[in-house]
Amino acid sequence: MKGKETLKTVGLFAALALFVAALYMVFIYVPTEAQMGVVQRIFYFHVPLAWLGLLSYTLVFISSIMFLWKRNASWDNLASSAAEIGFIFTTLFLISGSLWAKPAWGVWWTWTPRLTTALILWFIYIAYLTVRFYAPEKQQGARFGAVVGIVGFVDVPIIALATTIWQSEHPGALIFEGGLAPEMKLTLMTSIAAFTVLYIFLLTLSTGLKKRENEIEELREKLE
Amino acid sequence: MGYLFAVTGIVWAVVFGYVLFIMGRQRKLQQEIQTLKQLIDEKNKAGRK
Repeated sequence: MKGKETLKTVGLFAALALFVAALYMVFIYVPTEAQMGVVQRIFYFHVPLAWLGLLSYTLVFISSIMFLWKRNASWDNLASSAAEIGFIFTTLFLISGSLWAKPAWGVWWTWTPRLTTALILWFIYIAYLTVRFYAPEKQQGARFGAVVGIVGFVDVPIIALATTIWQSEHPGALIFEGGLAPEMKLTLMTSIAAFTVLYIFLLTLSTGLKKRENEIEELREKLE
Repeated sequence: MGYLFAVTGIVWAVVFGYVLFIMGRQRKLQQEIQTLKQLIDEKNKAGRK
């Protein structure tokens, strides 16, 4: 138990240290982009949030399959934790995208394939969480949630490939296509690392919480 | 610049808010586990008598 607590504390400090480094790089180190100016720096928040929103649903997908196959509560805990945190990160990447779109494109929102499919993912997350919350029985909610977790994954590769398949205002993956100065690439990588460590820390906390909730249910059954 | 600060502020506020929520909930659940374990112990002792 003590080892796990130490690991959690180390994880939290690692996330904080990386965040301090990322903030320094975003606000001070990285050069200002020539066309969009200072507002382009939202990119260093928006991209990591988007990456983790998609990664999280991938985790929901894998955990849902494993849960339906193995019927082990740990997989269900992982799926529901990934869904909660993924929903938060997806909400944040939609908000950050909108706050970037307004100064860059002159509109808060536009129905491009990338944005539309990302919004669909947000609704899929809501569907997953709603199905679990409103199910008459916890086990039933877990099973229905797992089905949504599996079917909903179809949106993830569509979002990832949207800018490749369809041309629109939304830029493609600059990190792969080139067009990022070395300082910008380094800043983006640091930001992605910071957010990813934070995500792992939050996931660990959340799955621990769900384990305790399961423990409470078992203890209550013993009392009856 | 305002948009950039808005994004930074929102991201930090939401993330910290969620961390505080989880930690608070964790403390509450831990207390409930302790209480339930005590009640089970008392029930077992009463059963033995």
